[in-house]
Amino acid sequence: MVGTIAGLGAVLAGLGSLRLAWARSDGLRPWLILGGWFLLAAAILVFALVIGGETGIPVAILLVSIAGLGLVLSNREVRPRKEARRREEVIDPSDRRSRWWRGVLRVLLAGPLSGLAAILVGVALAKQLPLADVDAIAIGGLAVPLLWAGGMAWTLSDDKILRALAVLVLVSGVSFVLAFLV
Amino acid sequence: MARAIWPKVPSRFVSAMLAGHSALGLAFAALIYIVCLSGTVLVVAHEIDRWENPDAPIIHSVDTDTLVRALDVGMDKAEQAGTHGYVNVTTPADGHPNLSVRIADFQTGLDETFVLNGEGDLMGPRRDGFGHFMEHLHFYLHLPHTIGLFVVGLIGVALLSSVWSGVFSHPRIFRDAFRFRRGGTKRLEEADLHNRLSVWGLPFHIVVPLTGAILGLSTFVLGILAMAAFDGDLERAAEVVGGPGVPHDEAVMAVPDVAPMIESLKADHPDGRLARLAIREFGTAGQTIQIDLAKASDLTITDRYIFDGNGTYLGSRGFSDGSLGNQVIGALGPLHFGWFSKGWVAGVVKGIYLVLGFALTVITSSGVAIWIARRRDKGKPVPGWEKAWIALVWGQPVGYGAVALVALAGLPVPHLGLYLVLCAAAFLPGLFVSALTLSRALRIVSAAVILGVVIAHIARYGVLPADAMALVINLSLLATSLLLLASVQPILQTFRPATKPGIGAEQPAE
Repeated sequence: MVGTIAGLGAVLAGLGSLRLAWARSDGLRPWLILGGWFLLAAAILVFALVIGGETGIPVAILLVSIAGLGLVLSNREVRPRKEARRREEVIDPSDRRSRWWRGVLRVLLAGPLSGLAAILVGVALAKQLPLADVDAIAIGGLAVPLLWAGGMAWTLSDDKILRALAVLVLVSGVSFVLAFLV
Repeated sequence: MARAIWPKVPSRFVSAMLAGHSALGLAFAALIYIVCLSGTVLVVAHEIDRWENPDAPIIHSVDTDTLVRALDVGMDKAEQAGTHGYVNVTTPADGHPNLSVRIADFQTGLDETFVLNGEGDLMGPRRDGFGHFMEHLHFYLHLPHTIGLFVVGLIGVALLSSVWSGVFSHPRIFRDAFRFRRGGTKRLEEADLHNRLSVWGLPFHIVVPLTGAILGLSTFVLGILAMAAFDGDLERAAEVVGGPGVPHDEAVMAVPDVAPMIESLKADHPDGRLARLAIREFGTAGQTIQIDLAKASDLTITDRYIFDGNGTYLGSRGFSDGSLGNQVIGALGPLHFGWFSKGWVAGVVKGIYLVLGFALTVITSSGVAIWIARRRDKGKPVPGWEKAWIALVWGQPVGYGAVALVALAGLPVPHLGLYLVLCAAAFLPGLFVSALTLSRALRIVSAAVILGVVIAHIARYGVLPADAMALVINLSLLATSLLLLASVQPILQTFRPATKPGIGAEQPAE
């Protein structure tokens, strides 16, 4: 129980320190940031020791998330409703030329081609990593959605669509060689 | 205010990332919303199961003799149903304080679960209408299983991709970390909500879609990886990933005595609690006995210990003490649903998963709201899309509530049909009324349907049934219903004390 309270205290103190740092711009700020992150790392360590590493680390991270949201809510500013001005303090998404073939190519790049490249990288990892079979498969399996999602994000964002196509083809080719020909 | 400590990100890069983020979010918004909301409900799947069976005998522990008897009862029921495919006894160590037995035949689709008492006697069928509907909505979108699982996996990839592009299109991630503005312009208000919920829940928002994508794509991706790694030997691949098995063999063979298997495992694993006892293809030479032990210190929650028809121990899946790869595979489900740890810590984890899961649905919804506000600000409003989005968002609780109501009343109404009809019906009023009126009307209907669910549950089982979890769920539903009503401004104002002109005149947006 003492350990849990210490862990909770470290979470709150760490977030409090970051909150204080956020609100000021004097010489103390870097130390508050450093101290905040140090306390959050300490909280994770404490929960890992108290509950066990496997469950303690995710529990600590969840607590940081929920306590952080609590701090954000407590910092709520209510302002009068107003209409948008022409010049807002925001960046707009880039305006792209809307040609149908670019749309089709972008969908193909983000979906099947990114997926294919990610799977080929996953297979290459599963075959070439010098680990036990199940470990290599697990790493390859984890890599697939991460890479697919990354590829999807990038190909949908890159304004130079042919560059994205070239990189995906290159990654797929290299992975294919590593997976099946080496 | 604080100076930025993050390197300056070129606005052109941010614009490009935002374009990708926006395109992907809008393309998948409806599916992401449905999967996130149903997944949030399923965080409390065990509690929903208890709520649907509040009169099931409360049992805290089960001895070996009772387990053996429960398995025998299950095999008898399976034989009566004409199958020897699968019988699985679930104990109080598996999430709810009941004893139950499930019989299934994966060829014919037979799948029934029965409640047992503390002696292992059959009490009657276990009701799972609403829970089953929600599971199939989240896992398969009610599509054929293989296709549905793949589609849900793809939605996981799309959501994860949105998380990546969202992070890269957020140049003020630290500078705005604690800023939360309500009011002002609609777009900034929604952006603040979207960004704060996204940033503070980031670890959750990465882990949940990642594990969901892997679980959804597992058949496809792990199949390909295993085939590549084992040169097409799928049996070997299945054994490495899923634990040892016995080849299919329909020759008749006596069912072994499972009691010694249970006792030997208990002796070898004094920290484990028996969560499930299953037998596959019983009475044949291809039968296997699977015993799942739960260990609270493991993220994987249970590990499976497998025996053949002679009672010979074949091995485990390695989720508890196998190699890292086995443990990672075993942790995917618990991490995805927030089903890990024990006691009050497990309750806290579920509570946080509920809040962050709901936050993910709000993030999805606010993302669309930002796009709608941006279009309006640019002089290109999209009132039709705005109404359609409102109908989709608020049609869900109406659909869920109606399915729960029908399941509770035991009415012979197809759940999927009812859900689809109500979801479609939510769009219709949009043809005649404004977006605000549509939103208010659907929130009131949602609140009424949820209130109806509580009343129906109390009418059937009473205020305080055997399982107190039913009361907790009913109170939570009641609170949800009241919150939905309170979110409708005219209703809220009716119950608010009058304010002087000029004071409190600023109303938050609905």
